[in-house]
Amino acid sequence: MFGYVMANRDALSQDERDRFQALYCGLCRALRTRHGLRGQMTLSFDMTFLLMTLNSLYEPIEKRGRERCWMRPGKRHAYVLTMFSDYAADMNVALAYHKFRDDWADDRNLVRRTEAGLLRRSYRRVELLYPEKCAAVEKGIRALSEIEKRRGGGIDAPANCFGQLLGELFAYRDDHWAGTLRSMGAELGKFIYVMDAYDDLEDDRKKGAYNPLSELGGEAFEETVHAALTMLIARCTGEFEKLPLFEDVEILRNILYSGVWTQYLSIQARRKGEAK
Amino acid sequence: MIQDPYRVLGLSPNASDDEVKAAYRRLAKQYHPDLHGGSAEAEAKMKEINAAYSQIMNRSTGGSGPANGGYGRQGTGTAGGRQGYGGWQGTGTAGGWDSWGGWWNQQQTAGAQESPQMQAARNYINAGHYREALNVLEGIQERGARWYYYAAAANMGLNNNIAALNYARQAVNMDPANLEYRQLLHRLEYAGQSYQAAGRRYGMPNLNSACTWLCLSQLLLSCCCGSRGYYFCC
Repeated sequence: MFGYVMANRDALSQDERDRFQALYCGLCRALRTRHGLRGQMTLSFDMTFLLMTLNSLYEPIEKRGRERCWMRPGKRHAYVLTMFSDYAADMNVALAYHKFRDDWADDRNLVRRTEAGLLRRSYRRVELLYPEKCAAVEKGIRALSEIEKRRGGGIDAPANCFGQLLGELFAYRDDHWAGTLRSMGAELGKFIYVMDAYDDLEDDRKKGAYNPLSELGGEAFEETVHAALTMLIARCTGEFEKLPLFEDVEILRNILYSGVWTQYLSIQARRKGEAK
Repeated sequence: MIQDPYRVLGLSPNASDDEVKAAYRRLAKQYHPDLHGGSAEAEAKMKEINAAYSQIMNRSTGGSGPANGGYGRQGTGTAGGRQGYGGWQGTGTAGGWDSWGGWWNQQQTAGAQESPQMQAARNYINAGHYREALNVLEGIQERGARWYYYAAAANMGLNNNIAALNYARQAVNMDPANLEYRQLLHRLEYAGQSYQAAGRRYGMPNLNSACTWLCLSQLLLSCCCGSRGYYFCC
């Protein structure tokens, strides 16, 4: 995925930082134990947020441990595992697998085909566990790719499409919370998509590639993008605040109200640097 | 609808959101069907608790999304939700609220000197035919503030909220005095205002302040050197 949904570490207490790190390491570990090294390579912050939200809502049993791993070989570090670490890891593999396959179909990128090939067996296992979620991912990635190929539909169509896909992953099971989780995930997905398009603007411009944000136009382009991002993430938090969350809720709020802007700032800093 | 959802949760009507959440958690543990051997009574109670909780939550954050279309409808003048956005009253040409929560003011009588195409666009929006409205609008060369307003409304009807926001901003920009335009923009930006107010508590970077740029290098350092791991890039 994209890695935009991260924490603002500076605004977290030491305990909160440790807790976030342990959950992140738990997801990494779940990816490795369930899907091997190639699964571990798909690790992202976005899925850590998904697993933390579901943990906080359903309060499953936690397994704690310490280990040394090749990604952080320095010292033994703590990890926390729950059923949602497994779920988030599996969904991450499903997303990565279909994304790779789609990239291969689009530009015959052999690296992508190899990567998809390496994930195929993992994905088949995930598909047996979550057939509906996998179908939603496959359908969503395909629809998104078609919208992107058509070009000229503006930013809403692809953003809504990716939002719908992420919403399905947040709606873990069909219960009282599914609706709120789905809307929350959908708004977050739109936010991620717009942020990613914003991130790609200069690259696309240099390559002459299409960028769905370019159609927004208007004099106040930067302000409009910022207003759009604010609108989307605010709708996401509006849904989020309807959930009865206590565990880790301050970390989750740190992510939603502050951390999600980290990449935005770094994009702007990069542009300022380039403009000089 | 539950008559008094607060009483179901054992709270007074002025309980804060956090108190509502805590009460819900407590009761949900108490009446969880698994603890009662799947008794029908506990299940019914749990259903009632769930419904009461959602009723309260949807009321207090009613402005956050299109799913809560009804907010503000009961109010002409009085606040529709606790956060005080009461919708807006008609402006004389108004036909009242439409069925979806009052963001679009049904306009039955023609505005001053509107071209037939603009009237057609307006009628399509009135009827909920947003796609057709956009088709008509695209054919119009002369684009004043009102054109942007209609384009914003049609896009909003199609759930294209980013385009809607962009058009609404331009309409307001061209005619800042127009109340209708401002209210449509407010409807889109409403959730963002409480978001930004809440965000300050969490160290949300203020993008307009010079300090942000000073702090930036530090932020960048922490996100590069914190164990970011690997991502697949799309």
